[in-house]
Amino acid sequence: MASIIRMLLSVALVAPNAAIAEGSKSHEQMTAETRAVMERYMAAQNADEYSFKEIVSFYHKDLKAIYYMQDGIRRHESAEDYYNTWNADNITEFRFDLDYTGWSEPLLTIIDGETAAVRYIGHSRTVDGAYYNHYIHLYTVRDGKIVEYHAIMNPHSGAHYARNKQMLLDFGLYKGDK
Amino acid sequence: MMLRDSKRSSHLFLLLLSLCWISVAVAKPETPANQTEKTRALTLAYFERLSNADRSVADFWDKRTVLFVNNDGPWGGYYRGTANIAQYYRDMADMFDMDNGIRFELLQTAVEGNHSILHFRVQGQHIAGEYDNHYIQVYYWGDDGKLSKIENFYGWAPFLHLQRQAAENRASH
Repeated sequence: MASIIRMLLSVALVAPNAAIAEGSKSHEQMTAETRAVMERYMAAQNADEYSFKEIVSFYHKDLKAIYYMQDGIRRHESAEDYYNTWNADNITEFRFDLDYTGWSEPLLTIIDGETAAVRYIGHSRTVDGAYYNHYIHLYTVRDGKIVEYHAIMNPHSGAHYARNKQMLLDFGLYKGDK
Repeated sequence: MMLRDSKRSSHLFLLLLSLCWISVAVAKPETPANQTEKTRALTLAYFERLSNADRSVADFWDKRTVLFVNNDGPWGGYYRGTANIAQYYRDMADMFDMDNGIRFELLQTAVEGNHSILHFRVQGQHIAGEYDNHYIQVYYWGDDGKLSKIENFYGWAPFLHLQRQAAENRASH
């Protein structure tokens, strides 16, 4: 019986503890802090009175943001650079209809320590017509600020094999019309 | 003799009772934290097989699994079931020099409940040139350890660059 008690004691003493200390904060603490920042950030994104300046205020001044876009990779090394690139006056290349209030369809949020992932569908309008896109954003949150941000954007997804015949021909992969 | 058998039986009973007690004490209830750790282990096992081009990665798929590929190219769209998903990956592999291998580098992981996400970099030799791209994949896990959905996002620009290169090569020959 003594050995059983010892075994039970040892089980209790080494009970699984999900808290993984990283610096002075536990993993759970970091997750809770990241969740709080992301909840405020997402609320600001979806506010009726949307303010891009307020969105950027969530970013650390040395924000590292990387957008993997269909025409290349865009890198930002500061919140100021991010603001100057993406504010409404400077994104005329996308031809968004600025009178139209876009909206998003949240699909999934994952918070894990300093990392947050947000998956959603964005709906908007360009001067050419409706805009619809799938988004995946990955954030790193530290000391209450978003310090890193990765996004992969490929509008007009769902293209099919035959539509891109020329690309497959160029790669020597075209196997005939489907 | 009967007394000895009876003592032995009661010892055996006590031993079995103790073992049950220990197993009840040790068994973890399925808390959200446990679910997250189970998902983390499955996700890393999945990446291990995917990054080694190990065909047994298909063990994580079944007929219900849906693969969504978000890109602007010929492979964008939805693939349903093990056979279609395997065909997608065969088509991808056909474009690369698999003898020299493709290199995967895991950059970020996030897990919560039965969802997980991986950000990784892939480098290798594409049939049209050097390939270097970033991927973000989202995984939706079922209670049976199979994937109900995979969402595959990758930058499209490297493919456009390679397409331009392939077209130039064709024009010059």
